[in-house]
Amino acid sequence: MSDELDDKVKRALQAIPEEADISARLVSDLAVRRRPIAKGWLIGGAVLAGVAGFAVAFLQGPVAVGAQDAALIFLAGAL
Amino acid sequence: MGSSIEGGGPTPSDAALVARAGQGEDRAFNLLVHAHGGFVHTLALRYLQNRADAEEVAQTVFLSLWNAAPNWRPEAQLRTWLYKVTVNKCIDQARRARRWKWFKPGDGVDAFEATLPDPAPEAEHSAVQASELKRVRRAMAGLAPRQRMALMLVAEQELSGAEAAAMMEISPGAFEQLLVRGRKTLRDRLEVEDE
Repeated sequence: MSDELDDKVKRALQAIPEEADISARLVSDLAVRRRPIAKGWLIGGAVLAGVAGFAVAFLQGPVAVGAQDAALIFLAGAL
Repeated sequence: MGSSIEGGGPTPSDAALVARAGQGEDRAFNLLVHAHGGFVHTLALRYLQNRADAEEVAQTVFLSLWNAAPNWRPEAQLRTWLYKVTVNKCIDQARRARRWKWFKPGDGVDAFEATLPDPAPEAEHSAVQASELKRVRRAMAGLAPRQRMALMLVAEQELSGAEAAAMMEISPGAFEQLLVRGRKTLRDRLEVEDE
């Protein structure tokens, strides 16, 4: 009884084919994710952009709402 | 893997490649991903029935390998290690997916089924068989994550109970209980669909 059920499971799951070129895709995706430095640059860049946005907003007064919004977005992204 | 790493020499063993990856050598790591990526991804895909989740699991498995490589013990079997890590990351991913399923209504089994190739038109009864396989996959996807994994390891991967228990890092007794419950739930689900 369980053999029959197991056979059904086996056929159902093995009907899902192996994806072509998956290894090549994994290699390229992992090349990015393995590099903490890339993530560090990304976060550092976003923080810098946020600080710059606030600086612009401070220098130009309350009119520079757009710069302030952008700064908040960058800082939130960095966090 | 096929090709040698240095061109012309013998193909390096997994242990040698892991040792070199542990020293930060990208090429050795990429060879390991090429050699084992298909196996890891297919295992995850058949279990999760979701392409994005399977790819995420495969990536995190190899990221774990990259992080573990500097302290790798030469006697450890890479394939067994990858198997175990994949199994446990798949279960974690399935649990997460269950928690978030209400927020991703278009991300279920039906969406995955739509991406599978059609059965060969010349095969007799192919449409009926395809529909039956789909029904089993759908019922499998509804099982609790650990029951689903227990059933898959024994039925699809053809591991013994002891091997499968070791992969799931549980005792053989606990594994046997999971398997019995998984088979019962699956049988009930298939019967309910029959009615």
